[in-house]
Amino acid sequence: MLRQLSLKYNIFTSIALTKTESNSAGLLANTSYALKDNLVTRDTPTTCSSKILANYVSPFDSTVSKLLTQEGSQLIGKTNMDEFGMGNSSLNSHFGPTLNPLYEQKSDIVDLEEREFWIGGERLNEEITFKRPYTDNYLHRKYLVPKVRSDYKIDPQMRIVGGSSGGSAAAVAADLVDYAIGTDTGGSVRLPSCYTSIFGFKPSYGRISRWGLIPYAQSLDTIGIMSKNINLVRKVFGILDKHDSADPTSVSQENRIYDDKVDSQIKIGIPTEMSLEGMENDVKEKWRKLLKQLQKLPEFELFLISVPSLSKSLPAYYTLVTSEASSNLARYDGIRYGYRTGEYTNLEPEFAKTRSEGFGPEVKRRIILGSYSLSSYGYNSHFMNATKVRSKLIQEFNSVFKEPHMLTKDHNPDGVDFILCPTATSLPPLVSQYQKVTPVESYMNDILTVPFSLAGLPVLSIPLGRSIGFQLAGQLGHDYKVLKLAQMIDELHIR
Amino acid sequence: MLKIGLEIHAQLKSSRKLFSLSKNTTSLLDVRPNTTASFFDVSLPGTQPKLNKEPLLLALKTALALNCSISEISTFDRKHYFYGDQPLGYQITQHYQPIAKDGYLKLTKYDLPKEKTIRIEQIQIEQDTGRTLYKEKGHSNVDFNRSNIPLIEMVTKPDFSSVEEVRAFIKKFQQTLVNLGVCTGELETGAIRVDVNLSVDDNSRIEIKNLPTTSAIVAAIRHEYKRQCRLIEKGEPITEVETRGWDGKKTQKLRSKEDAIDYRYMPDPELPAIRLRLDDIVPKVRALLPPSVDEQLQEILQKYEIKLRDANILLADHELMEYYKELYNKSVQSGVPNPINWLTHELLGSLSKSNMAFEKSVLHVDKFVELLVALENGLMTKTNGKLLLMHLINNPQDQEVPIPQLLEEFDLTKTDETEVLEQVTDKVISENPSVVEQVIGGKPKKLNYLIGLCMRASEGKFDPKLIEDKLKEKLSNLPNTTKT
Repeated sequence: MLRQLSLKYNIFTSIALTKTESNSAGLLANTSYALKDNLVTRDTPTTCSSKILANYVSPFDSTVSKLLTQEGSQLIGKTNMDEFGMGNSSLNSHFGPTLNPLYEQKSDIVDLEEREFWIGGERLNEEITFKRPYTDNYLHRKYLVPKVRSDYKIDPQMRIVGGSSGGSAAAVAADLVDYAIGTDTGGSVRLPSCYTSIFGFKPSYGRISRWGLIPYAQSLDTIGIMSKNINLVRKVFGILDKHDSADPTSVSQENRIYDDKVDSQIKIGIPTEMSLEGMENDVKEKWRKLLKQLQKLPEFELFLISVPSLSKSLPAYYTLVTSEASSNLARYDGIRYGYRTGEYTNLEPEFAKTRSEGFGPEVKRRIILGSYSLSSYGYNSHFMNATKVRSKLIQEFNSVFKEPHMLTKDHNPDGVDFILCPTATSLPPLVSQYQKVTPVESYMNDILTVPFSLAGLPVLSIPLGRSIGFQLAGQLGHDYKVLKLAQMIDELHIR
Repeated sequence: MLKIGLEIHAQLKSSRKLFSLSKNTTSLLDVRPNTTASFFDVSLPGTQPKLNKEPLLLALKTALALNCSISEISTFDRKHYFYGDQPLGYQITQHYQPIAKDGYLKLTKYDLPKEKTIRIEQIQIEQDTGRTLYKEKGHSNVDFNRSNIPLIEMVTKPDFSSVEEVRAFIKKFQQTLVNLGVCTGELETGAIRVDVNLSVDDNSRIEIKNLPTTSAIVAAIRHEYKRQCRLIEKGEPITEVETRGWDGKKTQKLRSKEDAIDYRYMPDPELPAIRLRLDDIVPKVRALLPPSVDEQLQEILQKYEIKLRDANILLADHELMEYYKELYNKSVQSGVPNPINWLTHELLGSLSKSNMAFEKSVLHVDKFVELLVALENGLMTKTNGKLLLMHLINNPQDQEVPIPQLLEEFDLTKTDETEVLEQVTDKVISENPSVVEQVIGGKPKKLNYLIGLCMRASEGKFDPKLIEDKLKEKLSNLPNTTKT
């Protein structure tokens, strides 16, 4: 089934064929998972779905994959994504698009090819080779890679899976794994979770170590957990929620909050700025129904709240992520690793050719946008203004939440416990439709998810019917409360 | 009017690099390429920087020694440009909020005829890049051992108005860093790199890069000053900011304002700010500082009554200083006068002729004293003493042999066999009639030439003073042939 679904929906960038020993006594024994392909692993390639890193094998493991392996979880494969996390459709991949398993796809879109490589021993710094070595002291690793068919057809009713963690969402939705690890910079875990009707949790910024996560925009990048089972989400979070001295943004042990007690009277805030005019009818209907159900329950109190900076979040977000991305992607010059063109002219240095051949169009667009925002022309008007919007937004969230902010301790004693809003304004667009929209129009899909990313808040997308979800957000650091309330809502069957 | 400011980069001598745990092998040029580079140093995807505290401490020491005020909060920024030896595509530096600002370094009577204070604008901590090793035909290799080594960049105000001031400042800055133990202080190995900003008559500012030595810096400034003076005389002064390089003979344009790089500075999104409790940390760091270069100079000048030039030589090398102090004490105890010349001229000179570097093991202090005592007691001439010194450093096994025995063995004992002296001087005089004529004819300095010839003919056995007296005596007795 793994192979069949992979051929149709193109879920993985590599499927591991070499089974490694797993710890049968671990907390996650007998579970399987998929890992987004921007988290480095020694046993499979790490590509970020980009030509520039196609075939790249990291000599070290990310902290996340190390912790999960320690607890006995089995890695099935690395999942397809929008190149370097840039996109919300999972169509921008060097390995071809990932499709949404909730919708029928009749024909295969990729073939799977077997590949292999060898690692020169257990130690770090050992040689990695794609050619069979002469001695057998090497560890042999086999895996499958997708190769896009030249004549593939996508069914007309196919809808996008969302992105950028589209492969991770699809692997969970298609029941190929128990859970998947995604990353969320502006909604990349929540949007595909919403579109595939699964739980998608983006914890507070800094709670899960980013060591080994290939950065898109570090000040926002957050590792998240996706599953159909909210209890498993909480369990996996409990394992990954550890301070890591290798990550300079990892939250210190003393600042971590483990309290998950929810008040008997739960105050929920609904931001007026998020009840958008443009919301599609299907979504609006489900959303109203949910609010009515909650109002009927005695333990819930609903409040309309205002967070004025929400309306400026999207442009601020795109200014900041593109700036950071243009900087983070500067290292891919083909000199030390990754794709290298080997050709150059007097007019164009080799690294320029490498980069124009190695990056896809959306990545190039964002590098250019970001380079402008950081230039001496754009720095104050763009980058600094966006930074100010971000600070203001955080202050506004602090004035809304009852719980204290994990770091600054700011809060409003009369504030709400949680914020609730839809994850997306519409059903996932048809693939055929999405391919026609302009980049800026496609950015609009992130309007409901980016504010929580800018503020680093813990937020969970909870499924609410087919390809619809709503977000439950808490104050920074209060991750276990968000998970607890989601478990309560799940048990109440109010979905 | 000439106005100059300096930007100086100095590698910090920390045990580990700035943001990774790989070894900092700055001062060792013979380390195999790419053997002290960590995953972060070569920018592998998924690695992150983590600031080490040791380079921070070294930077704080430097900042306090240069009288800067330390920032309570300083931050790291990324400076973007593409180059093969810049693995991240940017350098992590401190552009917006540097670690220290507003300092000064005093050039005192020990440095310049006229005292002068040079103001320091700021000091920032940053990463070094890798090193490009250029091979034939446009091919080059990159060594990442240097990548991510901690640097401080120090920027002065445009306070210099002469080459002499620049030279004195660089020397003083080197001495200060060496004295603090934060840097090897060498320009030759690239541990210190100097860029010059220069303007003439308040015209546009020119930056000069690629200046590997102090003499290159001095020559480049002189050349650029003359070039601009000529342009001003022609009525075509510089009007645009420009970066120039130094090719050993002249300054050459590297890039102008139009093709200046936009570095797209961005606050690093993952490195936390450095937050210091100044009232706590500043006194603690200050307590770690050794006495300043001037304080030490003053002390040794007074205590040992030596020349400034010699004091500076001692101050540049901690081991040499310790060696001198021991040598001095033991010499004085043995009734030998101040041995400073024998150390800084004869020993260091012999070492440099033998292509050796000073270490205290090259000549045991006691042996040196023994040699000086033998000289003082007139057992050999000064010339033979120098020969013996050269012999001892090149043949360390002979340092076990007593000096008199060595003198005997090499036939270096001082002699006053008057007979031999008569013969030698007579021979030299008769063989060099024209020189003799010149000496008598009023060029007494030519006498030295004759002394030299006598020394050579007698294989250094006689004291030069003795030869001089003998020659004078003989010449005055010569029949006066030319004066008529």
